[in-house]
Parts: sequence; C-alpha cells; structure tokens
Amino acid sequence: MRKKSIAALMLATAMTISAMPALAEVITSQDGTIADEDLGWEKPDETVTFHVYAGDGDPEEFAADEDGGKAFMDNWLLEHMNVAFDWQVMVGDMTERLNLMLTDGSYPEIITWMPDDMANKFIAQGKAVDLTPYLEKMPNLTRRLGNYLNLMKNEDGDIYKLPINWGFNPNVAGQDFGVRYDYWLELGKEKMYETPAEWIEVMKEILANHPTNEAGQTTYGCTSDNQGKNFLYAMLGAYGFVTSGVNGYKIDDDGTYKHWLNTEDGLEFSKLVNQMFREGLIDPDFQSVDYETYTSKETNGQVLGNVGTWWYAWTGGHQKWALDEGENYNKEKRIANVAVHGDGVDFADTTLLTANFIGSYRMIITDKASEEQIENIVKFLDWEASEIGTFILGFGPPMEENVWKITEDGTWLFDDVIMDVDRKEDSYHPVKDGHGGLKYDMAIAGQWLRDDDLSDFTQIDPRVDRVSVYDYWPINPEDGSFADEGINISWGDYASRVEAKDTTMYTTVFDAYDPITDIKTNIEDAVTAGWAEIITADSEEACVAAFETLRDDCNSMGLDELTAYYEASYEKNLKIFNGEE
Amino acid sequence: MAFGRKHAVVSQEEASRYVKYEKKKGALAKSLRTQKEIWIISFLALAWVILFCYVPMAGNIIAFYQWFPGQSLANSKFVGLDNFTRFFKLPAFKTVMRNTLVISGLSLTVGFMAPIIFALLLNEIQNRLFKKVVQTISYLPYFVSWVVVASIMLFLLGTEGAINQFLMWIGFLDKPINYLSRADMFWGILTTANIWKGLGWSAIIYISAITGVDQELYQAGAVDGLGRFGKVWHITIPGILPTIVVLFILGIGGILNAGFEQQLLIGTASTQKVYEVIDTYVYKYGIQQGNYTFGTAVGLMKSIFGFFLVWLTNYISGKVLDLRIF
Repeated sequence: MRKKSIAALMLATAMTISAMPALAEVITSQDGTIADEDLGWEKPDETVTFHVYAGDGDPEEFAADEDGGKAFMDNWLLEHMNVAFDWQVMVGDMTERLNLMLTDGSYPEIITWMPDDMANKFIAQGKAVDLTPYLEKMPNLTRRLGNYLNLMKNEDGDIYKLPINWGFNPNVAGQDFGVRYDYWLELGKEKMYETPAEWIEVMKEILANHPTNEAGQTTYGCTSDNQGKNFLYAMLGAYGFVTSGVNGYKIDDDGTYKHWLNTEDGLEFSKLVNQMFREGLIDPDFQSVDYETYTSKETNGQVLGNVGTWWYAWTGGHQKWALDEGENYNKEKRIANVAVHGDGVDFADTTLLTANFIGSYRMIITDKASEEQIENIVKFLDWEASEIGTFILGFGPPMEENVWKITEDGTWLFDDVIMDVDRKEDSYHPVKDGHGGLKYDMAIAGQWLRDDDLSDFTQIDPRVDRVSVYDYWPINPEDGSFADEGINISWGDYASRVEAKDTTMYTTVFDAYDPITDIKTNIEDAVTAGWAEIITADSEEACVAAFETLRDDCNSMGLDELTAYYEASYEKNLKIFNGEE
Repeated sequence: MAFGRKHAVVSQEEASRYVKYEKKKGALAKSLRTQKEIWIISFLALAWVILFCYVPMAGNIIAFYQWFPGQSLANSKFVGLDNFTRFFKLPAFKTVMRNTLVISGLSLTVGFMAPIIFALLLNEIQNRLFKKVVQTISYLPYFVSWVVVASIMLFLLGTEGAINQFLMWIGFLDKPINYLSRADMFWGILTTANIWKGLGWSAIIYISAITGVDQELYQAGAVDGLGRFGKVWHITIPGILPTIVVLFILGIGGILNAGFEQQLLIGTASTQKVYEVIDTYVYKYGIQQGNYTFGTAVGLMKSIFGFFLVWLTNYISGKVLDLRIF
C-alpha cells in the first residue's frame, strides 16, 4: 500500500512538472512587451462587445480559425482591453447582402468594408449614425486623417461614414512592364528599357531565345485575367493618364480633361498593344484566363513578363519559386517590375503608381447602436487610429513569439527571421496571422505607416521601410536601399524612376438612378469590347479602324457629358478637402 | 312569362350553357367531397405555390417606382413606365434583342429537335443493355454545372486545347484557332454546349412518350409495307406529337430567356457583341448598379411577353392541330 502511495505521488509530481512548461507557455503567450497602461486605452469595468458585419467570407472557415489567430486575439483583447468582437462574415456578394439587410433590417451596429455607394444608401435612408458630434472624442482619428476626413462629409457638412484601409500608398510599384530578369541578363544589355516599344523589342529577343518552356508550351511576354484591360491600364499609366477614380483621362495644365480615346497618345499605345498581339507577345487565350491560370502560367515559365499590376509577377513568380526551390533558388530568377514612360512623356509625368488616400471602402455605425454602444465604438475607433492601436490590430500584440516586439528603448522591432523576404510565406505571414494580425479592422489605417505630418511612426524598426499592416520591406538604414538583393532586382528599375501620384481628388460618386451612371456603364462596356477588338485586330490598319470606331461610339454615347461630370467632381472634392465647402 | 331567371323561359342554347355552368359550379364541390384525400395531400404544395409563386408577384409594383431596398413604397417616387422605357433607350438594346432572339431561336429549333431525334434513334436500338448505357451517359452532362462546362470548353477549345492540338497534328490547321474569342463562332459553340448538356435529360420525356405508342400499330405498319423510317415517320412521330406540341408551347414562353451563366462564363470581350442578352444586360444595368426596379421592370416585361406567346401558340395549335394545353 505504501509503495502504491509513493508511486502515485511520483506520478502526480511528474505530471505536474511536465505540465508546468505548458502552463508557463499559456501565461506568457498572452504577455507581451507592452504594459496595459501604455496601450492608451481606458479599460472598461464590463466587457464591451462590438457586433460587426465585415463582408464576404466563409463563416465556418472563420470560426474554424485554422491559424489560431482569432482565438489568440479574442483572448488578448479580453484580457488587456476587456473588449470582444462578434465578427460576422457571410458567403456572397456584400452589396447584395447589404441590400437584403436594408430590406429586412437585419444589420448589426457596425458595418465595415462596405462599398462607398452602399454606405451612401444606408446614410440616405437614415440608417447610419451622425458621427460629427463624436469627432472631438476621436483626436487620433481626426489627426491622422487630416483634411482627408473632409471628403467624408455629406452635402450638409456632416460625417456619417469613415474610410477603412486608408493612408498613403506604401507600394514601390503599381502598373509595370515586367521581364524575366535572368533571361534579360542573358541579352547582355547595359541599360534596362525605358519605353513600351523598347519592352517589346527586348521581349521579342527573349522569346526567340526561349520559345518554349520546360513542358514544351509556347512562351509569351504577358497575359491577362481581365479581358486585356491590364494592358490598357499599364499603357495609360505609362502615358500619364489617370485611371484611379476616373477612367483614363489626361489633365492638361489648364485643367482640361482629355479622354485617352480622344488623344494621339491613345492611338499610339493602342497600336503598340496590337503589335504585341500580332507579334506573339500576348497569350492568345488572354480573354479566357483567370487569376489562378495567370499565375500558374508565370510559375511554369510560359509567361516571361508582366504588363499590368506589379504583384502578379510576384505571386506567380519568385515568391513561388523561392518556396519550391528552397536553398537552390537563384534570386535572379524573377520577373522584375520595370517602370516605363510613353514617347514624349517624362517619368515624372507617368501615372503608373497612384494613391487614393481614402480608398473605396467605408465603415458606418448603424441606427441599431444605442448611445452607450456608440460611445464605446467611438472610443475604440480612436484607439484603432492611434499608432499603437493600428500596429497591434495589424500585426498582433508585440511579443517575442510574434513578428514584432517593443524593446526597452521603445523601438518597435521586427523579428530578424522576417528580414529574409523570400521566406515571407512561412516566416512572416503565418506568424502574424497566428497572433491575430488583421483579424479585426473596423476603420484601420491599412496603408503606409510612416512618420509625416499626419502620423508619428518614428519608433518603427529602422531596418524596415514602407511598413503597412499588410507588408514591410527590409532596407539598409545607411542609404535606404532595399536590404534584400532580390528586392533590389525586382524594383531597381522602378523605385528610382517613379513616385506615387495622389489621385484622391479624382474619387467620383455615381448614383444608381442618375442617367450619368448609365452613360458611364455604356462607355465602360463599349471600351471593354472595343479594346479587345483593338488588341486582336489583324493588322495595324484594322487596329486604327477599331480605335476610331470605338472613339466615335463612345463620343456618341455621351463621353463629353461624362467628362464634364468628372471635372465637376474633382473641383468639388478639392473645395471640400480644403474646407471651402 | 318570365318571373325570375331561374324559372324564365329560355332558349335551348341558353339552357345548355346554363347546364354547363351548373355542372362547373358543382364540379369543385363534388371533387372536394369525393377526393378529399388527394386535396389534403396537395394542400401543402398548393399553399407553397400560392405563397412563393403568386404572392411575391405583388412585388412587381416596384417596377413603377424609384425604390431602394429598405425604403417603403410610400416614400418612393412613382415613375410610371420610366423603368420600362429605359430598357428600350439603352444604346445596346437592338444588339441585345437580336442576340436574345437568335440564341433562343437556335434553342427552340435546333435545340428543340435534337432530343426528339435522339429519342427516336435511341428507340431503334435493339440491344437493351446498350440502349440503357447510352441513355444514362447522355443525361449525365445535365448535372454538370456551367462552371465545369466552361473549364471543359477552355480545355477543348483553347489555343492549346485538345481540338487545336488534334487538328494541327493531322495537318488540318497550320496554326491554332482561338475559338472562344471568335464572335462568328459563339452562337454555334453556345448552342452545341446547350444541346450537349440538355440532350439526354430532355429526351427522357420523349422516350417515355414513345414507349406509350401502341405496338400493334407497328405490326400493322409492317403488314402495310412500312420500313423502319416509314414506321418512325408515320407511327412514332404522330404518336408523340401531342408531347412535342405541349413542350413546344411551354418552351416558347421562354423565348426571351436566352441564358445568363453560360454567357458570363464562356463569353469574352471579343464576343460581347454576340453574347449580351437581356438577362446579362439587366444584371449589368440593374443589379450591379443597385437599380433593382429596372431589373424588375424588364423581368415583368419578359413574363408578359412570354405569357402572350404561350397563349398565342396554344391558340394556333388548337386551330391547326386541334391540340391545346388550355
């Protein structure tokens, strides 16, 4: 009996000791490198719960929480801030869902990530709370938004909605004319191409050297997943036409808007794209390709360049190759993003990279919220807008196990392991996600977190730049160049050539019942079909004929009316921004 | 002397009409009395039809207003027929109508005949096992979604698709054809895809009708010297004619429904001018713009037009063939 007691005691002790590390882990996994009193949040006595509809998503997947980030952030918010989220996502188009919610009144107190026009619908029907009286309780938000907050005002000067995912564009690249860098090196050229025409000549040489991929498939210079519109946007950017908010206008010094169809530049780049198609640089199946097929064609080496949005070349290119090839991966094997300019256009006048500070999505507090709930929501929104709030909600709390922590001298230090950008897919994203990064974002400043007139992020790790809640780039603090050799290759011929253009003032609102909306849709439709005809025309003459037909059609549909509408919208935005209205 | 309708002196014609009326009046009550079990069984289905098919029709009223979801009708602006006339005024209206009528027309002609011919051919197969296998395989595509069909078509018809590979291999083509971007081929491709997908399923009802034809008629036909084709032409087709007519009458009501998913999935920018039909147009100008009243107006218009066509076809069929649904 005594032996049994001793054995039981030893077993219990062993079990207790073995459980200690787990217990210790549980305790420390919620402890970070910031004290609660430094959060800038007054912890309420009772738990505050926010009921939020946040758009399209799989609720089962969200609840399953495979990366554990939701559970982590739920625990952290409860423990350190006494806040909880009832975060609702639903399968299906958010606009359709919101329309149904409007009909049956089944929306919660907060709706975020909603399209701007849906926010306006809710406001027009009196379903949104007037935030104007609460602005003085949101000093962080008003400070960081600055004059851009004025653009949220309605005709009466009141604010009912807030932007989400706002801020300056942190990206280095926008639209580009990319090339397989290792194949470009084989050509032995001293200087990288600078114009679309030069890109065509370089790509022809590369395709001649590499006519098929390893699987024997014919290679091409580029493809598309949006009916060829990426070629149009890239060309518009190279020639200095604004696309963000408007659809391809060049604005003269005297403020006159000119649509690309009514310019010689438009004809010139149309002929260039047609030449690309006729000379075999464009994948002939470009009209039937979706995003997955697009990236797989880059991954398998069938597409050797990129004309359009920069990150397509990354997700299908070196990000995949680096993971697949591991230590054998050669950094020069990537599709480099290259900025080009149209003939007669300076690099400084291109619009390849643009920035819309207020973005396209909004957040509202609905009439379902009680006065007490509104006060709590406003308080949290202001905390979210604070520098520390943005960082915690974006990256998860600062701690040793996470991608960032706060050192004793107050630096917001990123983990060394994430400095290897080729390993982002396993060293950065899963760790951040697992610590609750971007699980809950109501009106977050998702873009560039930098030190400027509106924000103070001087404490961010000096080894990284262009930090946003989505991404970051390691740099050499001495000269500001990218620390990673691969990134320097990717962006060496972009960052040095162009900077982002602020296109916020071009944001234009269209009402469903306004005839101008029909005109806009008609023209967009015509351009979609007409642009495909321009690309696939059999000869240059046929291309010019298709261009002229499209131009005449659009002009007869009311292009001048639409132009006047965009002009008036811009002027109005400018006045509102400057507080003149 | 007439001293009350019931006891008035009436003509024979009037009397027979009155008798018919009395018969009709009593028929429902009699049915409820003598077939109450069937009525009880049918009650739920009838209630479902009334609740979900007829009651929502009242919602068509928004077609005459400028209405937003969540807004009451009383607070909405009455616009009369504006939503209807907007459809006719949109620039691509003529192209949209042409595409709709062509695609529907192909469906009502080629697409309608194909299952009949298939059923007739299937009926001629003597080997029962083979016949069953063919029939089963034929209606499997019906259960495949259009998303999968679009992928199959890309696999077959893409520039590097199976058909181009084969034709180039046998020397028929020098360079591949991008079938899915050819506007001149779109209607044929779409009709073929529709037939492939619906052939077997649509043939089921004709196969069932063929089995209902009296076998003695075939024996009599053989005695009269009819060959295989003669039997089909003179016995089988007349035997299933009522089925054909009924399905045609019902089918013509959907002449303005020329598809939606197929166009969005298979269509490209190059084929937009031939694939844009009423439903895709309304989706773009109605649903995507959040203008639900426009979508309702066009839907209502389609329904009224379709109903009129069904009535007209039923009337003509009654006059010419003495076959009618109602």
